[in-house]
Amino acid sequence: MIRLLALLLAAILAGLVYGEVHLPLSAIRQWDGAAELLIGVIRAPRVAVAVLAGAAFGLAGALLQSLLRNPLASPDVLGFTSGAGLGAMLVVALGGGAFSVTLGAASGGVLAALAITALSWKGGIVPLRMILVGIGAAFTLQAITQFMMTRLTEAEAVEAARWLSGSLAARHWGHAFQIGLCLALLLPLAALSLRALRLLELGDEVATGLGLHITRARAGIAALAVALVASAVAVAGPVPFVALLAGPLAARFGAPMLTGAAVVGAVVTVLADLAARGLIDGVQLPLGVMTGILGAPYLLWMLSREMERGRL
Amino acid sequence: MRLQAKGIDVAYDGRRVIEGLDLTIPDGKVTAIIGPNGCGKSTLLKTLARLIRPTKGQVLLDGQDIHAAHTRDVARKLGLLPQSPLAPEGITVADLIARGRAPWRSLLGRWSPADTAARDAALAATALEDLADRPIAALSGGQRQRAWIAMALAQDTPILLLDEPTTYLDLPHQVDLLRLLGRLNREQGRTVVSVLHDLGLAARFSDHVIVMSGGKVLAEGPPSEVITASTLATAFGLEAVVIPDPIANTPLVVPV
Repeated sequence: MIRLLALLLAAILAGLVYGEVHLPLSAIRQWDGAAELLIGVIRAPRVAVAVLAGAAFGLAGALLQSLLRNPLASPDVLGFTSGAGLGAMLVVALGGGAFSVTLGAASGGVLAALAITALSWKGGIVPLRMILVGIGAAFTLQAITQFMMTRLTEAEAVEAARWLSGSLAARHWGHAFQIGLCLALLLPLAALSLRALRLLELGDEVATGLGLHITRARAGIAALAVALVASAVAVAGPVPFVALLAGPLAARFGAPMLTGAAVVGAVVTVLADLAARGLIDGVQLPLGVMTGILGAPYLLWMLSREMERGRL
Repeated sequence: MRLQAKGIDVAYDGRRVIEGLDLTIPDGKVTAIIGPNGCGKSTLLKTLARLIRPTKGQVLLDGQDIHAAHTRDVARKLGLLPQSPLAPEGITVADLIARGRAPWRSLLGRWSPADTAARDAALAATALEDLADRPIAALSGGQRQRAWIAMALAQDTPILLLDEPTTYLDLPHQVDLLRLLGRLNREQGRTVVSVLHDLGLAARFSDHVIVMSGGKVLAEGPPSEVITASTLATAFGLEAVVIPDPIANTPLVVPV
């Protein structure tokens, strides 16, 4: 865990210091006008949003993966993220402000989660059915989102396209404050859900025997994950794969399940954003393209492993 | 008597498995539920443990409908060990046992000295002290089953329900486990109810035997009264001679 926190600190520093415009160390030390503008106004809020949104994605992924006992069950694979993206996009198209975009993302996420759960229901939640339905639903939701974009003016469409691929360009302190507030409300609930998860992982019968109301606990944890995804989508767009990668990567570091996934989510997002804006000279790629490059091979590897084990 | 079933019908997968069953579990005794495959004995245990809700009638715990009571209050009185439970990856013996304390801990409550005492008592009762820090996955089958029983013991309930606790164990470990359950009953006064497959072991290690057949209780009482040639013929369709066990004088089933 200490290694992960050190990594996060290093990633944050790198995110502040490196960028398209090179800033000599002497300028940073003197904190002149250029440093103030580049770091204080442009990069710091961007890195802050990356840390907070990445942590929210990572946490949401770990919650769902643990709830459904399947490493594929992250909100992006299950289609929740696409639902939140569509909801937010509709509000953006209608000209809503920051608060209503968050609400739009939350409603989209909740509706997608309910629809996907209902469509895959077979006398209860069957994780693999839910994953397959979710993958299909994600494509459908993205198609609807694309269709909605044709209804926008060209300028709006360009802006929407950039946002939909998951981007941290032009984030300001207002965005950081917004996701910070959401996390301040949701993190205590995540701490509470940890105890329920520890019982649920012993199986439904043992958990019931130990006095857990399993249906209520499941619904609560799923709702929490959707709320976390919606908060992150509202400020960073539907960034793919961070939620999927964070939990398993944290486990590889031997870090505690939820806090580890939050820190890894933050590290991955900050580093991916750094790569997105610095990898190709003069080109600012959206963050989502970078996490896609990282995450897609991992998803393929996971799918083939699950198939080999005969679980898919 | 603390645990009772009153006129229960239970359906499982849309099929009615138990019909109009009345039952009283004797307090402070070791009870075995036996019967042929598909007779509803596991379903009965799950219904008594509130995992399945009866379609008719009710299960009473201390005179109150078990589904009307708060599930956490029930968990302080009644512990349950399902058939072949699965441990999460990497969990240690001590960690598994600690989770048995869940019904006694408040939402934000910290781990208390009472929790430590209960965990250590459970480790001692199951002779797992030296293996406390081992992962469950590294244990033998017999040790693993003892670790799960230790978890149920840490829950500190006067009633303990176990679904086929001896499955997948070899004979010496089956005997060890049933002796352990007997000690928990004698030394700590716990009511123990297990579904068992082996008639000989049920006869030898129980005070009270419930024989089920076709979703009904066919006979119940002390092993010497219940395990007879005629009950075996009716319940299992097994032709057998029952003779006294030369060591314990309990009934011994010898198939013809």
